[in-house]
Amino acid sequence: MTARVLPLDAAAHRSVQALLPWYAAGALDAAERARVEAHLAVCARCRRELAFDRRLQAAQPELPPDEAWERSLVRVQRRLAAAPATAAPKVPRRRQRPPERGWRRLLGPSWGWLVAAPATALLALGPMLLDAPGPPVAPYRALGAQPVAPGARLIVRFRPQATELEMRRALRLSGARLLDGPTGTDAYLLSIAPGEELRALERLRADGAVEMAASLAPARGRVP
Amino acid sequence: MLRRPRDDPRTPPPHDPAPERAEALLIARVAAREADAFAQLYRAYHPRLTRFLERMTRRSGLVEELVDDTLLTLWQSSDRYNGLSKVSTWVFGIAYRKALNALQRLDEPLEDAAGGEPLEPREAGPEARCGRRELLRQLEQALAELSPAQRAVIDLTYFHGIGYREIAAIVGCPVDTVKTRMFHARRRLRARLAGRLEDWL
Repeated sequence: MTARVLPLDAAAHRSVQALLPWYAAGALDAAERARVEAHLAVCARCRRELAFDRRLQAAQPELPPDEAWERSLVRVQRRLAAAPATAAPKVPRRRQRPPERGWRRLLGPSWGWLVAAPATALLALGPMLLDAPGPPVAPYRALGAQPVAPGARLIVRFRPQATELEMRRALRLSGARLLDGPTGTDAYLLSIAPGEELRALERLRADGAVEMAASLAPARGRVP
Repeated sequence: MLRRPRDDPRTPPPHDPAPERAEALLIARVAAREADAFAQLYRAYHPRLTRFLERMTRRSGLVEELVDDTLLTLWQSSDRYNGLSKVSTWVFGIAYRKALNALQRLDEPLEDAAGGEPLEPREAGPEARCGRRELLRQLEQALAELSPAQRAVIDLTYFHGIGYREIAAIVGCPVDTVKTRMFHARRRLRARLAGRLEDWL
């Protein structure tokens, strides 16, 4: 205890001192903040400690790159799909929804959220688009259990009014090859040569016949 | 569900309850199996969990798996969130327990003042010898001398702005234990970083 805090109650000093990190973090309630501030006004030692806390707080470690969450989401999706018996999402009983209305609920008619979703989220959720209800599209249905077929890197959906000619032209200009489709949600799986993915996506998205185009590249093939 | 610390039953004082309500609604939507809600939750928590688990475990090889496991648990167990705690308390609590279990499997001391292996060296170059990068390196070294439990308290406080009561709920210990961990951790950091933080700022 220094001379500066001698006039103060030592227990009160220690109690405020213990709160300083959370005062610096803005994580105290109003009464605690008032108590700390009253003490700081008369305690130079606590002011020095607070200065340290503020500097430490300012030394924020960097956040991981923005795209890391997408890769993680794709991995988790695959784990969910790979072990449906053990890892399938649990549905609250009160809702009485069958388990298949989990991720697969997305694949039905409810596309609205995808329109509003950022392109990155769309990309991350892309594999689910293949797992749509409707006519079977083997072997790509069990995407979570099986890796995407070799060369399968893009998914595309054409506008409903697009003609077959326009669709063929869009595919030809993109440089991608058609692997499968249409899925139950009218999407097509495309293959593209390594390194051509971004250019193909740009061309597809710029094409008036295309409603949506996204990458299904595995994590190792994407920008780290 | 996480219990409230016995020695301090007061509810943590939220500065603005609106974001917390929004997050609780998001969890309800996840429980209703809305994948877009899960994507939103994912985007919000993935960076924070990554940083927290990196800081706590100091084992870069573990972090990705732990973050995935935590978020997978959120999807699978969202119907178990009962709204009595903040969503962040629930999420970080899951991550903390997973990290502790992983470190236990590796026989890492959890409470003692012993750090894990250093993280993979960050990019180093001539420009890295001074400035912020050098400060962060020194901070990492100082944090390495703390226990995972202490690092968790430091990280949740300084870098996530989480109050001590909420931290007590996250790590499942009394409030006084959180304060004691902070006291010892901060004293160590001050000793190791004396003068350096001031120089940097």
